[in-house]
Formats: sequence, C-alpha cells, structure tokens
Amino acid sequence: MPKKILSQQDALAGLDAAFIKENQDFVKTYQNMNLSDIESLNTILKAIDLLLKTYSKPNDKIKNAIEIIFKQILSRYPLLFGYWKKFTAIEYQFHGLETSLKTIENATEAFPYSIDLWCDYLKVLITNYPKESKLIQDKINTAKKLIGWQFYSHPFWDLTLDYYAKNGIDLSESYYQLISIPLHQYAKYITAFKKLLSARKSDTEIKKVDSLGKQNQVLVSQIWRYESAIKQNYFNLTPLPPTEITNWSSYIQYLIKSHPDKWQLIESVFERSLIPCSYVEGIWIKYLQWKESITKTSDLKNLNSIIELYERGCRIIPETEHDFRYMFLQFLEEEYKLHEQPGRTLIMNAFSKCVKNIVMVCPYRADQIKTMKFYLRMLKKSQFFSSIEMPSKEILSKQTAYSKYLEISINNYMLKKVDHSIILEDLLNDRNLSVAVVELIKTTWLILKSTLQTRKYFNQFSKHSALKESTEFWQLYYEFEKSTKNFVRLNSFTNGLGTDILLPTSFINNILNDYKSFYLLNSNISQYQTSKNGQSAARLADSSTALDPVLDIGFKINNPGWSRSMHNARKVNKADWYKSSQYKENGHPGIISDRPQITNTIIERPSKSFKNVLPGLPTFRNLEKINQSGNFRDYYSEEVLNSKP
Amino acid sequence: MDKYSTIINSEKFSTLSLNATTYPKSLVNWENLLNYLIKTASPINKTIDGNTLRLITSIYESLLFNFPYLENYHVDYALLEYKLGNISSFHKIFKRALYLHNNRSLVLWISYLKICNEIVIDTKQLFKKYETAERYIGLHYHSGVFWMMYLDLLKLRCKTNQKYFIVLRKILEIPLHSFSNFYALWLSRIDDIRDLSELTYFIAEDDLLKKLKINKHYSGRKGPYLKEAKKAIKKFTKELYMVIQLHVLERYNLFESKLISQYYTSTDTLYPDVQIQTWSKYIDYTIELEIPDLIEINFQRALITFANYEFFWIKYAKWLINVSDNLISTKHILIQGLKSSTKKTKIIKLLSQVLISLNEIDTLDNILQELDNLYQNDITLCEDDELFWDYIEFGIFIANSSTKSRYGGDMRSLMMPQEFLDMIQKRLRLPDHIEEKNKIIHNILLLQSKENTKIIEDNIFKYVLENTKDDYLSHGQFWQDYCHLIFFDSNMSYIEKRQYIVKQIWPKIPKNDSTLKLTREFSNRYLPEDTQLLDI
Repeated sequence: MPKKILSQQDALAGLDAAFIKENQDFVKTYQNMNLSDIESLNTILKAIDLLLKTYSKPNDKIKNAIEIIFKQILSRYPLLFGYWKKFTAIEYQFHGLETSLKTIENATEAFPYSIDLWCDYLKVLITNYPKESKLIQDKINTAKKLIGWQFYSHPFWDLTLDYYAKNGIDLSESYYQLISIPLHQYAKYITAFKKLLSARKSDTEIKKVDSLGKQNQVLVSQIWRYESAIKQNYFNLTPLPPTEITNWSSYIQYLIKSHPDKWQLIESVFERSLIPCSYVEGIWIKYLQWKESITKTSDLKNLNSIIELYERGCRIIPETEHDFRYMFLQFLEEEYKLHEQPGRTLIMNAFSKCVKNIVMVCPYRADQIKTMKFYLRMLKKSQFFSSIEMPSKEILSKQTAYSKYLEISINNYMLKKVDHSIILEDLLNDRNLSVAVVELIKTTWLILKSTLQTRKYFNQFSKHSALKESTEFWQLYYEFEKSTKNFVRLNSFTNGLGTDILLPTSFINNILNDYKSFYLLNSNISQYQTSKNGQSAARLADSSTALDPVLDIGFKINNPGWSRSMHNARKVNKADWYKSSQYKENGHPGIISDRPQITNTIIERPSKSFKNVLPGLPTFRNLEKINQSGNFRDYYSEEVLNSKP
Repeated sequence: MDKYSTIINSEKFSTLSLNATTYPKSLVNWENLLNYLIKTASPINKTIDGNTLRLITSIYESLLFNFPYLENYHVDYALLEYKLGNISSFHKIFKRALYLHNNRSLVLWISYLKICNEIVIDTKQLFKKYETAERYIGLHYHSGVFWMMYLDLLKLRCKTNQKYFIVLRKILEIPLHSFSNFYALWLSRIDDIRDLSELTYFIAEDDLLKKLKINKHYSGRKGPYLKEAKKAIKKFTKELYMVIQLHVLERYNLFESKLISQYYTSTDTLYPDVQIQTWSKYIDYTIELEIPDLIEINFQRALITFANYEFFWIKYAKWLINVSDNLISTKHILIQGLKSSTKKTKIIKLLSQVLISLNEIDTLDNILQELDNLYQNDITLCEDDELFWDYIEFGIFIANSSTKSRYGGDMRSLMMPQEFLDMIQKRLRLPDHIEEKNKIIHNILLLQSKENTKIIEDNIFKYVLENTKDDYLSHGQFWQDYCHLIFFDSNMSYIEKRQYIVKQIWPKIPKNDSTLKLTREFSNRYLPEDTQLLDI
C-alpha cells in the first residue's frame, strides 16, 4: 500500500458501530493521535494494550485496525525499534509464528542497523526453524555486514558464535574477524579465542592473536573517548542535544583522519550516528562526502549505490534543509559529464526525481528558484547540448529548439494545460516560473539576438502576477533597457520600483545606485533638462510624477516608497497631522502621548503682523490629558507573540 | 621707534605670525598671535596708530576667513571697531557675520542689538532690526534674552503699551528655556491692573465680552468685578503655562539637557557620536512639529557646532530639497558645507546633483576643476576612491553635455574623453586596491554601447592584462566582467561571442578558487554547455 494513502487512512473505518460506542476512549485517543509527538504515540500504544486486555480474543476487524495503526506509525518512523518489537509480539498473538516472523523480518529491512531487531529475528529463526540452515547463515552474513562493526554488537556476535559452535562451523575465521573489530566487549573474545587455540595447541597463532588483540585494545581506548560521551543512541522525536551531535561529528572526523583504512568501522559509525541524528543534515553531508571520496563512480553499480544513499537522505532530511539536496544535484551534474549512456539515463532519472521532490516539498522561494536553475542548466546540457566544436548551424538550431521548448512549456503552464509527462511543465509553479521565463528571454535576446521578440516577451510576461515579484525578471528587464539606452523606459521603470513593482529594498537599492551612475555616464544636460521640464509639466497635470534620475533617485534608496508628492500630501493633511502615530510618538518612539497643544498658536506670526490688535484667546487640544503618562505600545507582544498566524 | 615697528620687528611676533601662516587651520596659532598683538598694542583707543590697527584688523580678517563660525571673534572684532568709533565698520562686520550664519546666530544678534540700542537713534530702523532678528532667532530655545531686550525696548521707545502686550502675549506661547520669566511678567502686569479699561491690554475686547463674559464698561461696583476679571485672565494663563511647560520640559529632557556644546570650536574638537545622534534626533523631532522657522534655527545650531562634520550639512540639504523644494538654498548650504566639512565626498556629490538639477553645468565644471587643483592637478592621487569615481562620472556627464567641449576627440569612438581614460588607466595600474579596481571596471561596463565594445576591451581589459603589476588578475571579478563585456556585445553573433570567450579569454585566466568560482558563475548563467571546459 502506498505510504501516503496509508497515512491518510482511517484505521477504525472497518470497526463495528457497537465496538466504537463501547470503546470511546480508544477511539478518541486514535483520533487525537499526533504523529509528530512521541507522547501521543506512546498513549496510543497504551490504549492498544488496554484494549487487548479487554478483548483477549479480538475479532478480525479489531486486529486489522490495530495493524493499520502500527503500520501508520512505523512507515513514518521505521527507526522506533520498540514499536517494531511490540508489533511483532502482537502479530504473534493475532496470527501466530509465521506472521510475526514476517513482521520482524520486515523490521530488519526497514531498520537494518538495529542490533536489537536483528537479534530478535535471528533468535526466532534459530529456535523455530533450525533446519533452515542456509537461510540462517545468509541472514547472519547480512547482519554481520550491517551491524557487525557496531561497538555494542556483542549480543549479535554471541548469538552467532553460539549458533556456529552448535552447528559445527569453524569459529576461528569469525574470531579472527572479531578480534580486530573495536567492540565494547572485545576482551572477552580474545580470551575465548585464546582458549580455543590453546585447546588446539597452536602457540604461533596465540601470539598473533595477542598482538592483534593489543592493537584492538589501543583502538578501543581511542574511540572510547567518543563512545563514552554518547548519551542517546536511539531514535526519538524530541530534538537531540547539540553536544550529542558535536560528539558524533568529532568521532567521525577522528576516524576518517586517523583510521581511513577502516572503512567498515567508519561506515558503521556513520550509520549508527544516523539513528539518533537522522534529521541532522550536517552528518548526512559528511557521510556522502566521505562515501564519494572512497567510491569509484565509473562503475555503474557504485554510482547507483551512492545515488540510493543520497535518495535515502533526501527522504529523511527535513524539507527546510537544502544543502544536502543541492549537494546531490551538484554530484549528479558533475557525474553527468563523466558518463556515457546508460549512466546518463540513470543520472537524469535521479536528477529529475530529486528536482521534482524539492519543488514539491520545499517551502522556500529561494530554493525553488535555485532548483529550477539547476534543472534548466541540466536540461540544456543534456537534451539541447551543443558543443563549441559543432558547426554553427547546428549550435543555433539547438538553441532555437531550446527556446521553443521553454516557450511551449511556459505557455502551457500559463494556459493551465500542463502535460505532466514533460518534466519541465510538471516542475513549473508560480514561484519558479520566473526562472524559466528569464531563461527564455535571455536566450532570445542574447543568443538568438531578436530584440523585437525580446520586447514582446517583456510586455507579455510583465503582466503576469508571478513575475511581478521576481527580481531575476526585472534585473533582466533593466539590463535590456540599459542596452538600448532607452531613458524614457528606464526612468519610468525606476520610478515604478517600490510603488508599482514591489521588490526587496536591497535589490531596489542596487538598481538605483547602478542607474544613477549609468545615467550620468550616458546622458547629458540637455536631455536631462528636457525630460525634467516635461516632468514638471506633467507634475502640474498629474500628481504621480516621474523621478528625476540625478537628484531624486538618491532619496529612494532605503526608502522605496519615497516620492515627491509624499510630503505635499502630508501638508494637505496638516490639520489632522496631530492624530498620526508619528506625531504622537515624536521624540519617544513606541510611547504614545496625546500631548496638549495650542490649536491657534501665534508663534509663527511676526509680531509686526498683529498691527496692534491683540490675538484671540488661546484654544487647546487634549488639555484634559495633561497629567496622563505616555502610553507604551508593546509591539513585540502585539505583532509577534499574539499575532494570528 | 613707534609701536608698529616694535611689534613687527620683535622676534615673538615673527614666530607667532609664521606659525599662523604655516598652519592656518590651527586655531591656537591665530589666538596666540592675536592675544600677543592686542596685549602689546594696548591700550587700544582712538590714539592707536593706523599701521598697528591695520595689522590687528587684518589678523582678525584672516582668522575669521579661516574660521568663519567663531561667533565670539566676530563680536570682538566688531566691538574693537565700535570702541574706535568706526560705526560703519561695526555694522559691516556684524552684517557679514550674520550673513555667514544665515542670519541665524543668537549670540551675534544679541551682541549686535545691544549696541544698536545705544547707537541707532531712529526708532523705526531699530525696530526693523528687532523684527528681522525675531524672524530668524525668535524660536531659538534660548532666545529668552532676546525677547527680554525686545520687551525693554518696547517699554522704552513706544508711546503706548499696546505693542508691548502683544509681543509678551506671543512670547508666552513660545517654548523657551526661560519661559517662566515671561509668565511672571505677565502675571505681575495683571496684578497691576487698576481699572477695567486696562483689561483690553491682555485680551481683545471682543473675546473679553463673548468668551469671558466681562464687560469693560461694567457699570456696577467695579472693585469685586475687576477681581473676578483678573481671575478669569489668570485662569487661561495658567492653562497656557501648563501646556508650554510641558513642551519645554519635553525638549529639555529629551534633547537640550544632553547637548554638550552650542558653539563652533575648531577641527581639534572631536565630539562623541552620541552628540551627533542626539542632535540628529532633535532635528527629526523638530521636523515632525512642522514649524519651518524652528526647523531651520535648529539645523543652523547643529551646523555651527558640527561645521567640520559632513552629517548635518547633508541632512540640512536633503531636508531643503525634499521638503521645501528649495534648490537655491540647498546649493548655498552645500557650498558652505564644502568649505567647512573635513569630509567632502558626499557633499560634493550632492552639490553636483543639485547643480545639474539647476542647470548650472558651468559651476559644476568649476567645482570639478577646483577639486582637481586640490590634488595638484592630478585627481588620480586622491585616496578616496568614491571621490575619484564621482569626479569621473560628473566629468563625463559634463563632457557629454557640452557641444563645444574642452575635451578633444570624437566622443563616440573614444567612449570617454582621453584625459578621463588616462586617469582611469593610471588608477588601474595602482598596485593593490583590488576592491576599487573591481568597482571601476564594473562601472566601465555601464558605458558599453553598440559601437564601443572593442574600444573598452582594448583600453581597459587588455590594458589591465598588459599593465597589471600585482596579482590583480588572480581575482575573479575582472574575468567575470571581461566575459560579460564580450557576451553583451550586440555586434557579435552568438557563435562569435562564445568562441571568443571560451577560446580567447578563458585560456588566459590563472586558475584558482576565486577565478574559477566567478567564471563558473558566469558560465553557468550564460554558457552552461561550456562550463566543463573551464576545468580542463
């Protein structure tokens, strides 16, 4: 069953109405289940226990409901080994040995680095299916690779050695392997091995074991520094203390630096660290960096395994993080040029999948844009590749095809006729549309060199709401108008910044600074005065006036809403000026005071102007508030703490 | 030997005068010289010989030329002339001093008017001076002294009391530091009222009758009626007092009490930043009150105190442009600022913009010439790269503007006059200064037009390639801009551009992290197919 559908399923749907009525507590607990809260999950577990106490022989409907609940939790959090154990036990109770074995086997696949789960699984296998020796040995070998290098893997090794001994399999090979693995209980195996060897009376081997044992002892004491600092080695939903993460990081760093040849150990520590730190992007990045450094990707199998590892990380790492995913895209982009078919197909598939994933889940606009840029670059390099050595006709035809492809996709998107089989169309959304549009215009203008078409595109797209806020789009527009030295359009563009075209202030500042220089370097006084006089004429007719590109433009920097008419507007409202918060907070921002005022003040009148006539009596405003203390406005509580999302 | 010869032949005089002329911007030298002269020449009275006097006045002139905002020296100088009976010089000195302070100096006005009280016989003329002063400094926080003088004068020279009470009534509404003095005056005057008819000195008859219900021609028993009337007048006085007190305290608590200096001193005096902040906030506060005279007097106060700092010159200029739309005054202020401020870059820039806006391109040209002169006719020696580039930008604008240009050569083919190009090249040859060179080259791209890509490439990019003596080329920005220049050349076809960049420019790039990073950035943006060629 696909994961998404599973998580949305109502586990209680199949239950009898009578049952639901009788077990309201259980039903409520399930309905209130919050998958991101471990307490809530524990509560449902307790509720299930309670339920099973009441119904010692539950019917199929109840069984099914409980199974679905477990599957919902475990498909989201496969690293919760306790839940797997519980699930296995319940499955045993429901359906007997066969099903529970299957469950625990699933557990080892979903969470392959858990010593606990493996030991449970192997115990069940060995006890109940002693005849399946081939299966058992295969499973033991798999487990050895996955967990054999873990510091606390002695329960597994004990189990294995015990099984081997009972089935007459020679232990020395295993022992040799064991005594060079730094285990918490390393000493006990040296003693046991030596005992075995002395029984065989082979002194040379004992000496060899001694020396190997000593080496291992040194290694164990070296890593003990880090191992002893690990406080939480299991997965949990609550955030991990930063000291834990730092410890894992330095542990790994130490191993990579001091024992680069012990790759099984390094890999095992990485995998262990990714149990508690499974959401920590930094560790994933380190893991893949290391993995890339030791893998020859020219072999497709290796390439594939790295891609799989990357994809595993992409699935787990929170969508607010992006470095790991970009690292993946970067890796694929680098690999692409090193491979021929069929490696390229493999890479392209992984690339599209990852891009699609980022576009779907990533909450940040900047990531949407960056990802789209990645994709278009890759698209051009793969589907529309033109080498510099090709005949020029061929190069141009590729470029033309590329721009056509972009245009069709963009138009389909805008007309809402998206063909999801075309990856680009499938990827487009309002936040990354600008990237494709910019690419199309860039190609048309700078590569195909069609100024007319470029202007058409600008006219067409500038009306689209998704592009109104795109810095890339307007940057390109500005560059384009600069190249044509069209001051009328440039003036009206800079004028509209901050009022009609709403973009980040820092971006507007850059454009304004650039334009200030550009204007001085390329215009002249008569052109300037002509346009200025034209403006003053316009100013009389219309209150929205254009900016003077020499003098006014400086006022707009850091104050994009500035305009000449702004202050005049304030003057018009002078009568009401005292009501504005700006006036009330004057001199003491944040503290509002209705200070008393003389409303018919004469201080601005020269005394001569009175002409010997006494001024009228003073009239006051807010006189009654004279003893009121200022009112402090707590913006932080108002706008941050109590704001409604 | 007469006094004059004694002075000029003395060793002390020659040392002191040499010091003053060698370091004319050091105030202490001038003060020592002046003190010595005055001490030696005293007693200074009408018997003083002409040469000595000329020596003293010329020292005053030089001192004030170098330090135009030393109000007290202006006063000293004028008083000297007054003492000697040179009344017209006295007036001239004060008038010039006031002009230098945009007529907004409290100290100058008070000192001037004090003497005028004695020497100006024509009452009308004298009042005219007071009225002018009122306009410029009447709203100064400390102008209480001036108002007191004004009231005394009114009492002394007016036949009726009318005017006196009107002025006093106005003063009551001004938030002054010494506001309560005037209230005391007003109240004692109320106490002095002996007859109902006197009430109209304080309140217009109309208001008296309609608002306070007091009939001047009351025919009943006048004693108690007058008492009630006084009460009513005092009541509105009290309300007025409370409001004004609040305003005065607000200004005092928030700002005035924190100002450590009100006068110009010299460049040797450095102020803590918090002083500038306080003044700046004070001015912002004043601006919100929307009383233009108050805004201007406070600007002027800050300007004089911080005449050596660019901050308030710029702030004032911007306010003038933005709010009063008064470019002529702006120009005037900025030129003053240019003389006084030790940092000039921003002032020059704003002034140049104002001049362009005023269509005074010749003045702009002159200022740029002066600027060049300042650096021994070689602006490339200036250490301020912003100033240098502004010079180039405005210079090119002038060159673009003039039909009969003093700059030779065909502009189109040159992209800019040869002399600017020479300056830029010289600047680009300087070792280090990486940031500045990047900025210049980046700005040069703004000059690119349909015709001049090749010229820019030859004169800037290739020039740098051949003439750089430091490790400038191992910084990526240059290469990124170089690629950009070529790719934005509208005369080359796409294939040509691509070939040129990949085959001509890229091989020349010294490969390191910085160059690769920025060139790759360029390539990813415009030539993604070729990015891999960068790594080879």
